[in-house]
Amino acid sequence: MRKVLAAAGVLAGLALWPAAAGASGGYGCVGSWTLEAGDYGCDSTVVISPGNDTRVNMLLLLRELNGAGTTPRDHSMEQWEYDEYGHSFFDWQQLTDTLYPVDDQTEYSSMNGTRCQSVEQGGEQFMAAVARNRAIGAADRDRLAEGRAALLDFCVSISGWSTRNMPAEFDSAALSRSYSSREARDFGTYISGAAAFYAGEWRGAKARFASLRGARDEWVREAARYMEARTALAEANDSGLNEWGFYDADEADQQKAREAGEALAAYLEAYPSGRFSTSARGLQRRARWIAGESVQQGANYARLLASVDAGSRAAVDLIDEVEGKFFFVDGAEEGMRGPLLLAVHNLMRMRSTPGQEWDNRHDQPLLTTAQLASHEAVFTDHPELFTYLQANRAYYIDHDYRRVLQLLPDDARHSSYSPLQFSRQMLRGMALAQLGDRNEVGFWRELIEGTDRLYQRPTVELGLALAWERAGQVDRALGPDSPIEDARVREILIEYSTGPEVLRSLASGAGRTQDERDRAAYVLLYRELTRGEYAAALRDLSLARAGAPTTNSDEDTYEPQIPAGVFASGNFTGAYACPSLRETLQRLSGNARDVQGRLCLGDFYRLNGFDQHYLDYDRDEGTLGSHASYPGEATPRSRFYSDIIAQRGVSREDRAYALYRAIHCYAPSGYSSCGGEQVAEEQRAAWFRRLKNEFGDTRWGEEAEYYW
Amino acid sequence: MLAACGSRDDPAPEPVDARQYDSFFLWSGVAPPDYLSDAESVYLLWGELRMDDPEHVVALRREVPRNPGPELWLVVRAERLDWGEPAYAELLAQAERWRVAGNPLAGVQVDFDSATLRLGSYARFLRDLRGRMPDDLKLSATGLMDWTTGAADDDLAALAEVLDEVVVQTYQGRSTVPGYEAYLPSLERLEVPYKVGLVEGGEWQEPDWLPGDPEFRGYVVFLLAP
Repeated sequence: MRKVLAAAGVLAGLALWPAAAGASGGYGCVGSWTLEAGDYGCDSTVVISPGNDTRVNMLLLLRELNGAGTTPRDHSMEQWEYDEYGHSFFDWQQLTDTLYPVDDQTEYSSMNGTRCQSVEQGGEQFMAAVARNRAIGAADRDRLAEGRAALLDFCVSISGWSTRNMPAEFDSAALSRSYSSREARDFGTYISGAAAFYAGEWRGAKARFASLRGARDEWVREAARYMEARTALAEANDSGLNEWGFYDADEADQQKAREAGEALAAYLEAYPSGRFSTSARGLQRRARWIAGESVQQGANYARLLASVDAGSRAAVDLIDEVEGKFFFVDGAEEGMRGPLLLAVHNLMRMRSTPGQEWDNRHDQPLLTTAQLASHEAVFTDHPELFTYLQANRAYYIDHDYRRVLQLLPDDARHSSYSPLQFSRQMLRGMALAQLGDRNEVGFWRELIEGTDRLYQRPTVELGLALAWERAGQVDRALGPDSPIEDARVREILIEYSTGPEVLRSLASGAGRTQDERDRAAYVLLYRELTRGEYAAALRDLSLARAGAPTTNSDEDTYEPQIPAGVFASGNFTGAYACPSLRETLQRLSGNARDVQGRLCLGDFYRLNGFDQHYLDYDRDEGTLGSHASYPGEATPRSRFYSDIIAQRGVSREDRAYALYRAIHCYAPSGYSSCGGEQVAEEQRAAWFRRLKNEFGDTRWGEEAEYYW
Repeated sequence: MLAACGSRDDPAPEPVDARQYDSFFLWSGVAPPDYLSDAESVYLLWGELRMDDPEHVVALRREVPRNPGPELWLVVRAERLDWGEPAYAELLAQAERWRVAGNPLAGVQVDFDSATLRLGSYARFLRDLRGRMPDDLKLSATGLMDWTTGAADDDLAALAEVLDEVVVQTYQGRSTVPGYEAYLPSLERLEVPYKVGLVEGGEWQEPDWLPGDPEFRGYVVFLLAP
């Protein structure tokens, strides 16, 4: 959000709207930079909590209960995501990309998500079965291969990615009708059935597949039986699509869905461990969902969640399915079974503003103590999970932080933490913070030792940074011995919470990276200038590295950068002749009311994009960066102009320029881009008249044509 | 120039009641309400080009509409502008597919939250896209309110040159942006037909001058999931 603000130029008087000004990622989603997670937001943390995405809580608990194996060492995220989320926050996609990296080489299939997504793999299995069947000769095999190729072409054309004109339907003339053996003919019939299936001709597909129940080839027999059921399901699914292409569960033909379920059951009965039995079981769950029988699947999902390999991507797919097809369907609360689903559901019902989510699916009544207690038996084998749920209720609903401490004893001396152990200690630390406990910092420092470096450590670092910031000890957070390593946490402290001494020390060499040294120099000089600390700024000017960038993002890559170079080699002069920034500061440090000095400093702000500077916006209350600040108040350049306009003894030329610039603060929108209070339009009109009447003979009086 | 700030006699702003309007924007997960078929025009979000893959548009709406009645706009949301060739091909093929299915397709709309100071490069992107599109399809873009308050004249002119219309969003998330009434007067800087995008249920008070603006073409209500 920071860099977006800097680039987008939000109106000073209307600063209520920073996030939409050019949100560069997601839908304005950024890390919240607080450990409080009582509300659903678009960011989650590795602390299992009410505010997390329910899928994140499911996955963390799944890895807790099923044994997750190892965590990767590196995050899988883009730079822009890191800028907005750091390593303490993530969304579902970022978490799963990191924990279950997908091979980048995976071919992008344009048919993903359509019925045709199975056509390629299906074709390979088909041709392998053809090759296995010795009754099929080479000529027939070629014809069958041509048929499959035509089918693939058809799928590509209807998948919408091809720029060719689409055939309205599959051209069955492309299929051979004459084969020299019955076996080959059966395979040919199978292709016709598949073509009808992909084209959405359900009757034709079902008839052809049904006709293969007595096929000689056992692969054809089994595959046709499976496809018969799959066709029934596709037909049921199709019945829910309206003219907008929208799937409307209320419109779906539930009878057809039940028939599909029966056909799938028939396949599974005939082939309990058949080639397609895993797929068929998944399709059965979908058939039940279409038939409106999701709630009854709680036990089934609980079983699947308890048995899926937590180290495999299948866990992610299963959780996505549970989330989309079960967890939020009407009446699902009645269907929650097993400790995992029940824990996640109970946490969701502790959200402090239910119904605030985008789709309103989360509008559940707040969980009462009695309701929670009634679930205790489900957690008999997981007492620590149950007390953790109680502790969350105490923290987020009752705000009874002493109870949290009773429920979650200090256990922060491990060499590693499971997701639940870690969450328990984090919530304990948060309760210590709420109570203002003097051991809070010590607790975080102890906890940090055993954390994994992926997400746990940055999360504890955030807790520690908040504790030090609240205590007015940002110097410790950024000092040489600080365990706080996360670059984003450090950056926020440098930008918003740090005073001149620490900034100067970081900029002079104590900063851990070049980036950090540049940032400290940039922030220090910006604060000194805007607070009128001109002599100090003059002394510190050499901290701005000459080779540092002068724009806040790279022209080509858009990557954000720290423009510390503007203080050394920015734009110092426009039409009004100004010396270097150093000379301007020399004048101002001699006399802070020096007229030319202020006009030139104003031009330095203007020419280097300092208007509506992101550093002048307050951080959200309670977040990192909101508990401490650089001393003093910034003076906007609009003040220079209004003061000089009214000041005695100013030269005609300079007063005219002050008027000219004050007027232009409102160009072109009618809103001041120069900070300070917005002045009324009459005042701007009066400035303009004065410039034209009194100073019409000056360059600025001549050049002024409008006011805004 | 500034319009007068609302005086005390103004009626209190009412929440936007979608049924009172005739053009709508539909996100991919939002169920089309029954009155949608009677609308004049509907903007349907089809897919998005995400930050992590400039080569492809991820389709969010797989099924092609089957001429539900209104004039349709095919909307693609973009998180970046350096599109690869396949992404353009996917977009244009989808537009063709909608037309072949019998839909009255008005054109393509791009939804990209361009930073105000980068509108110039956005205009260049749009000009390139326009050059790839069939002549009988229009090009629309969603716009942000601070474009017209902060952008340079040249950049706004470049946008106006390449676009058939802009739909200016007045909301963030589920609510109207606070202070929207102060942003709106700058819309007169847009030398291109524009519609005002309202969020269903958000606050809205039509400024007196708006209906008289020659470029104003009415409203588009962005529908929310119930």
